[in-house]
Amino acid sequence: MSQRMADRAFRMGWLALALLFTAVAARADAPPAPPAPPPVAGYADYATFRKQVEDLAKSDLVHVTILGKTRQQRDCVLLTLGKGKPETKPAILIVGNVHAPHLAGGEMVMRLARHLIEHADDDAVKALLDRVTLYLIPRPSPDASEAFFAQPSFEREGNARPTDDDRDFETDEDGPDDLDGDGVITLMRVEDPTGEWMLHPIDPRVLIKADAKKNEVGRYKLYTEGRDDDEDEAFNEDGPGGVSFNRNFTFKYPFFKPGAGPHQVSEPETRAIADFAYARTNIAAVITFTPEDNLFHAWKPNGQAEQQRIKTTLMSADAPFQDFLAEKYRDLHGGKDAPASPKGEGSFSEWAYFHYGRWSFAARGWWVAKAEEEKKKEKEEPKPEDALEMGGVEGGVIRIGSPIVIEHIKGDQIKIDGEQVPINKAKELLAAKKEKTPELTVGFLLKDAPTELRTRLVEICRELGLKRGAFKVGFFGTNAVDAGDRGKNDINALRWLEANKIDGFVDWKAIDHPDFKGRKVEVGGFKPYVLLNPPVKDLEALTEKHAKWLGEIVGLFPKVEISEAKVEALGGDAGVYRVTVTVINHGYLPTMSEMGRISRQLNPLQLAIDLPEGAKLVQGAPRTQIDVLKGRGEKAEHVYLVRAAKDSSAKLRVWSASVGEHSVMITFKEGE
Amino acid sequence: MKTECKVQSEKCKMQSVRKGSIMRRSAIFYVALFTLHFSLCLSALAQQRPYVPAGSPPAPKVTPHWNKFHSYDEAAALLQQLAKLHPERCRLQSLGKSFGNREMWLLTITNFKSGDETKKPAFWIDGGIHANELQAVDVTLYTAWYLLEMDGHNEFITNLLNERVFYIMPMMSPDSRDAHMTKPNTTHSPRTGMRPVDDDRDGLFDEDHPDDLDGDGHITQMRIKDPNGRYKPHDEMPNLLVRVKDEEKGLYTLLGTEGIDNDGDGRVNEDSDGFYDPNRDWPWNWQPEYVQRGAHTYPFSIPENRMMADFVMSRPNIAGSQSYHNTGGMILRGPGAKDDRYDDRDLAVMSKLGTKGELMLPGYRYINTAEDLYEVYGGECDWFYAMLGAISFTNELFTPFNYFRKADPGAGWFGRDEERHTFNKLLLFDDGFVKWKEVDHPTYGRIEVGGYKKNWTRQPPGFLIEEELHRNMAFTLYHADQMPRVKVQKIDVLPLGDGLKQVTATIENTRLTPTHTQFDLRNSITPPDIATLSGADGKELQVILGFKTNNLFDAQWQEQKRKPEAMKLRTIGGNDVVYVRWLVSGAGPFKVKVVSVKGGVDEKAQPE
Repeated sequence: MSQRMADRAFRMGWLALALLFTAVAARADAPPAPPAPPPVAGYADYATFRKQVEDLAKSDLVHVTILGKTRQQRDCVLLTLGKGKPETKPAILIVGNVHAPHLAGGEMVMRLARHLIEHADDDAVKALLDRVTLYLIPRPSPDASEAFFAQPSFEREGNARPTDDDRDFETDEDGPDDLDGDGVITLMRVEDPTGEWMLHPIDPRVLIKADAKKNEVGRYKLYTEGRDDDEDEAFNEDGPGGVSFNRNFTFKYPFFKPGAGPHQVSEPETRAIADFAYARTNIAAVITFTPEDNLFHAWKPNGQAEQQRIKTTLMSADAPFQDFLAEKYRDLHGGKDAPASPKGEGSFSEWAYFHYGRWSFAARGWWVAKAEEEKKKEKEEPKPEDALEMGGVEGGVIRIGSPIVIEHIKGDQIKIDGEQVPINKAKELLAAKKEKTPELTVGFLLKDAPTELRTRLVEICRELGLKRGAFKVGFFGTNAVDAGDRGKNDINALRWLEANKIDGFVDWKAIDHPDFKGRKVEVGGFKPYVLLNPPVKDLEALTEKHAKWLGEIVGLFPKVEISEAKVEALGGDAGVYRVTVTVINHGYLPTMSEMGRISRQLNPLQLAIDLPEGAKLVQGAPRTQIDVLKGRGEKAEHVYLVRAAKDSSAKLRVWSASVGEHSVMITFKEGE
Repeated sequence: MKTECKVQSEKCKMQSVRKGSIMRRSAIFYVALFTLHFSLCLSALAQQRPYVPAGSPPAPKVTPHWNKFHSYDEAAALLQQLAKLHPERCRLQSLGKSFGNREMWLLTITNFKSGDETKKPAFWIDGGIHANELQAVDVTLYTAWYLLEMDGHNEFITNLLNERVFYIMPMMSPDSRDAHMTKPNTTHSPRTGMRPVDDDRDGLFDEDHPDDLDGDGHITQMRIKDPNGRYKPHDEMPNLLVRVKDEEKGLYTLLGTEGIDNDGDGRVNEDSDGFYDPNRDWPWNWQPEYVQRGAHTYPFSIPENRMMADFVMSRPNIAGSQSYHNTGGMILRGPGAKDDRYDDRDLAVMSKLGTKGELMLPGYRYINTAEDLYEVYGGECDWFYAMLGAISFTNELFTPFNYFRKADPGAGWFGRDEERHTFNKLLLFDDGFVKWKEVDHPTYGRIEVGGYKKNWTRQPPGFLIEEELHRNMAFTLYHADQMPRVKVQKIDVLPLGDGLKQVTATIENTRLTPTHTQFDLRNSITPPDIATLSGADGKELQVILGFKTNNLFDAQWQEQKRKPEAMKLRTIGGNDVVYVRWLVSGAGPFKVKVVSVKGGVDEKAQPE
């Protein structure tokens, strides 16, 4: 499922099966499309991206590594950003574009890199780069990302591996088709009495699901634009490609599902990145720019679930830290009404926490802001006919019948059951009808009607004891439907497109469809990519915020020190000393998360004494481990009993790859 | 054989230092070369023997000695020899190189002249994924040898090679097999492959192995004389230590496995070879290290497994699989984890096979891994069943039942200590135990080391190996024979007038295993079986309608609208039939063909 689809499915409840199988791009036999610019201007295609990487590599702070090659021989690029030896410092792994259509994620990573290089001398950035290494993977699955620039345009999620998405034992045999030849794959709606979709009462460009509980009747079936190429009565259910990077990881891996691949970590790019990550014990945290987000929609701990042997919820002990860093992010970001996070089955960001054992932050970064206009509307007073609708409920049961329609025509003219009359004749006409049919109910089509007319009509109905009847929506029209929240995000998106002058919607247009002979089929809907990838200026605005947040995270990292090393001479000529070492974590974060501790994927702190020549431990070992030191001042104490020459010195060291190193020298002296 | 014995004793001398392994390996290589040369000489003389024991190849071209464990080099030489001497039945290929630069050998055994290898139902056999489990490799070698040497002499075997294909991967973890044989180890090690892993997460890799303190090539136990110890020698078996009673004083304290603290962290032997468990590396129900020890980083993060898996995934005709392990005498089926569940109808098939196995393998039990052994997440056996649609078993070779052929349900996987010591004394003449001897230990001072040698307890002693191999092979061949086998049983033609006729074909699966397991059907793993009606010349006949049913007498005929001439059959049950009916227009001979990915191909011609 394409991510934009997924988002919308989530927002609108569009769960049509056809849409579930649409990880597809251009078809070889599709009608030739006119060359068109990419869906959103200013995004880098692979060639441009590689050039940008080379430009960044000119900086002394940047080192470029090719982690692997994709099936189509594109590079899986790693940028190492930092000073000194990268492996010797704690590190943050930042990955964008794990969901291929979300190019914005990769663009954000590249912009972040550029920003940090350009501002390397600013105090905050300097402190950041002194303290940590940044590993950046802007475009982990470049074959899949390149679909953004292909024609016809379609939100393809998978890479170039041929897959059998519908498990019919053929691969890539039914992709979408650009039926209207406009170069973009949108949707098609087919009039069908068994369809479950209906038009939105406010904006018929938007479809919503008919609610049987409200006695609404659907009128459309919805499909991705295309033909049933393999005649299996499913549309575009198995298009070209592929395996999705963001569904190919081990946590909650979706076996046998489209896009998941033949097994976990099956792809050259997922393997390359997993191998890299597991080889870097210095990585302490992972930041993923991706539509599934845990900064605006925090993962919830579950005390009971976490008792299970297999952990599937954020550990309670980690929740305060994840929450605090998320709060910092929200403050810096300033966004509101972030869209819900899609399910992360097999996703990179959930793997990073649950299996890789690192702090994991998943940021969508950008989304279509909620337009002001709609908010105002939400606060509007209920309309008079809403009051009548309440009256339509008797004993908790909504009346079901065939209502007659009262429709506003113009001025004081209304149509009652097809008969046009002025409002002042309405009561008379309705009374006559009521006499004939005592169970009579009414329905309204009052778009743009003046308030006085609405009020008068409601009064008349009350006086006559007429109740609002249940509608057969598809038959009578739509604007008496209370859509509730259904379709509101699409309507908002349409407004946003309009306000920003983005040509992001294809108006519904009837076409002849060979698979639906004699039926009305229209093609239209949101253009691919535009709701997931903003104009680049919007990305620019996020760069500094993300850089600041990065600084905040690093500022909260554990700071482990040997705060005290007490040397006691125990008397006698033998030179026996007791060395009491105190190790403290001054930082906010613990040396590893609870999930990190459980997962056994991070190295615990090592504490060691390097003795001078000839010196010996009376008992015990020179090196020991400290599992976890919680933040904000938790201490651990360790005692060494040493036989050493007077005035000789030893070095005490504490370190772990993901925390850093600290050492002090001690001298064996009498009577301290 | 004398030559080999001599080199063996030399080998023992050389084994005093771990690092002497290169020399030792080359010594073994020369032995292998010699054996190969010797066997080739023999093979030239291959002929019918005057008197042949029942069930033995009458005129083997290769005559390996089976009461031994083949080293990597010896096994490789044998495989090459078999491939060379049986070119029409056997192909040898390498799927790649192991971490230690050894070949990942794969044998394909079938009658290459009786049909396309990829169209025959295939059976997968592998051994030694846990490399210390030595006989698991030898049973695969024995199977390959037996199939090839019995082909043409035995009807059952000849039919198997005509109708089936065997893929045999004898050594899934060749580096560690070599390590077990040539480096100091216990019978339990190395279970892992040889890629270094930082087990104790201190930034150092494989830095604290067990140490062969007495230089005998065996990692045994350490004990120290201690008047307050809780152990003393057994009254009748002085090598065996037993716990003293509460009110009694012992003579020894046990100090664990032979070794020292190599890395100065206060712990002994905590970061040895590996560690990852190659049999926890498989995708189905894989769980990470904290849930499943040995899981490593992700499924197929072990390249040797990935090479094998890439091959297996390219062969959807694999309908059955057998992996060999040791020990404890078990025919194991999945699921590996308690939170997983196999379909009852599939379990019924496994149960029929498994209980037959119990009969063939005295002392073995047919049991479920999760419930009866221990939980295994990400095991190979589950992968074959759940993701490839094959009926799969894992056999744990050797059982303490074999010591004295007495059932003793409480004896555990390795048998009771007293029993083993008695066996060691009476049948091995004390060859199975390193007697306690004094050595110096850097931390503990003067201690003693001793214990079971690495070459038995999990492994059968020499004289019991061949029987173990043969019985296990026999079970596996029974399973292979019971893989689905489709036949067009009969064709009935009923003229309906006006040139129209009704053709009813009975399609049969003559074996126990269905062409698709229920799990396979649920996840659409294997394409449906296809029954096709076609005219002899392809033109005269027109198929107007096509139907199918599972029950001819209470027929709910199900129509197939698209391509009725090629009827898709979801599955054909074990020892069951499916009926296909066509309404056909036109005259002339025709044929009915059934193609089943896991059940083979068959066709029947209908004259007119």
